[in-house]
Amino acid sequence: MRLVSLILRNAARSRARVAFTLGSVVVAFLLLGLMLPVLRVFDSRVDFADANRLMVLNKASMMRPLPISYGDRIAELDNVSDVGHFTYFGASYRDPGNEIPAIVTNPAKFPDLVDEVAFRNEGTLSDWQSDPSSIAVGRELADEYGWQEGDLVPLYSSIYTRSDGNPVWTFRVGTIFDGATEDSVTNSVVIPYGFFNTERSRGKDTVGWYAVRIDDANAAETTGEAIDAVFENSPNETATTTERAFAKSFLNQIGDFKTMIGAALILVFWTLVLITANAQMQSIRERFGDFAVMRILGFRKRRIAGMILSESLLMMFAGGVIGMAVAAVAVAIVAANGEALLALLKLDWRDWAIGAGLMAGTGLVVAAVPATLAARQKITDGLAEAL
Amino acid sequence: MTLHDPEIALKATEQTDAAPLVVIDRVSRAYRKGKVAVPVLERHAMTIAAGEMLALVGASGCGKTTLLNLIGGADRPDAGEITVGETRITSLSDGALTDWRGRNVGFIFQFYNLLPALSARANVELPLLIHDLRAAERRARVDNALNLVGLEDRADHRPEEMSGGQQQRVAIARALVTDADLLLCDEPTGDLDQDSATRIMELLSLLNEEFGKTIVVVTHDPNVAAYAARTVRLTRPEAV
Repeated sequence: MRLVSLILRNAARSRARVAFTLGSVVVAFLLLGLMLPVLRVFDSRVDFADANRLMVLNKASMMRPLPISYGDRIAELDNVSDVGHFTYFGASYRDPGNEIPAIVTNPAKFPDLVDEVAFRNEGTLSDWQSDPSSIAVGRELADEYGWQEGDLVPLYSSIYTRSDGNPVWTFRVGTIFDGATEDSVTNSVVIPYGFFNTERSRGKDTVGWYAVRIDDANAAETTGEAIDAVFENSPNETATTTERAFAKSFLNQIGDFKTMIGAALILVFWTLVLITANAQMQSIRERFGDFAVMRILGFRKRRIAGMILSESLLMMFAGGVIGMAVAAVAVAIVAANGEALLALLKLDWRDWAIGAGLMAGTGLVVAAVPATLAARQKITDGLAEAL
Repeated sequence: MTLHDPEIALKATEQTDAAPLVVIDRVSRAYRKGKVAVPVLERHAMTIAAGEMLALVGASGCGKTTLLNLIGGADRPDAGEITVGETRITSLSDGALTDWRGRNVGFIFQFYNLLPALSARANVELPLLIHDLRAAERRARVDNALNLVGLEDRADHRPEEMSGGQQQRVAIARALVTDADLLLCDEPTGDLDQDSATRIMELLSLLNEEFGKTIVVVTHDPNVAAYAARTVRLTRPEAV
């Protein structure tokens, strides 16, 4: 027998209690493992949002368009280095329920304005930029539907019909783009504005919103105010904000997700700490006599405290690893079958590191009091408890 | 072996001539009950010779177990000195006293105090875990100790699967496994039937006579005290 074996046998003394305590730890870390990737994906959307990029929207409603002529007037303002525009296409593929993200923009400016994507094939990039009826397709989407450069892809638009009233637009795949980083989303279609604007039946010469690249992020607020001042009292007043602020406010619209998840996690962990601390205290209390015997046999206080801490850590790590492993499998399944942000879910090393930290921290906190009590108790008192 | 005549045994309280292993020098110990100090031992002095088998008897609360715990370093006196062998244990730090206890003293309790989650073998091996011994040597020592108490065939049984007498023999094996010179027994037969008690006392006598172990037995039972070469009767000091 070794000390580790002694710790294991002691820990398993009451199997029912161990099972219930372990179960609570598993559930807590399962929840943690499910929530952390969600939080990170939401965070990453905000992080991706560029502080050096302003969004110029219609002040009345983000759903209302802005005139195409605004672009040139914005470009003349101080601190503005580049201006691009985007329009939401409302695309579906094969059936109206199968929506795919699609935006309309100027292909010439798209690679410079959008840092999140990478065009690795210069030849096909220029092909896309020069062919008005070709589209750029994200790698994930191309892989999902087996699209290759040169394929013709019919897209249904729920917003725009062509001049003949047909809502189906057929495009040629001009190029396929990748993500600039591992976390970048590449499940969208980018449609050239020129062809789209000529062919659509309504809303000509308007855009959904402008993206404005600025030189000095510190002057973002004053630049935004300058832009809005230009179009003040016009039929289409603007509301300008940084992309990061927009991303945050968008997430805030669906509730302060991060705060809610954070609060839920804190509650779960607080409950976990109470449950395990109670079980641990009870378990240690029952063994005060055993610890007194061990002390009398020559086990130092430090060793007794170490054994109790080890027991607690063992419980936390056993339950925690099981919980997070189950979460990893669940997250992988959701990501494999999900779309958009769900497809980005992944329990990565950062989540495991946070989990391991919490396992260690909770294990130590839970065991601190019983370990101290057991180590400090007088041998004679402990022996009296054993009777 | 039959039980000794208790009357004869109780008279055998004279000091032996052998060199003392334990020297207790004016030791006092009191417990507090609220604001009242209840003295249990007051300037108690005695010696225990190496290789002696000594019985401590007396009324409940007279300090028998307290004295046993003080001799074994499981408790500390309020005043006075205790020397065991060459070591003045009352001067040792807590850690040093723990180490000394683990090397030099074997404890045997009335209710055996075995760890219920462990087999007999693991219980006996327990004191060796803190010694720097290889697994093979630990195993050999445990086998020897279990053989000596006649429990080699119950080595893998847990305490709950054994009788009281068997559990006490496991406790004796645990006390022997470190080859401690001093065995301190607190009512070792108090929870046993007469046959089991006889076997336990015969075993302790054997350890004393054949292996030279110094044994101190706390008991209320004159039949048990009769096994000892000397009996010391403690009396309760006046409350302060």
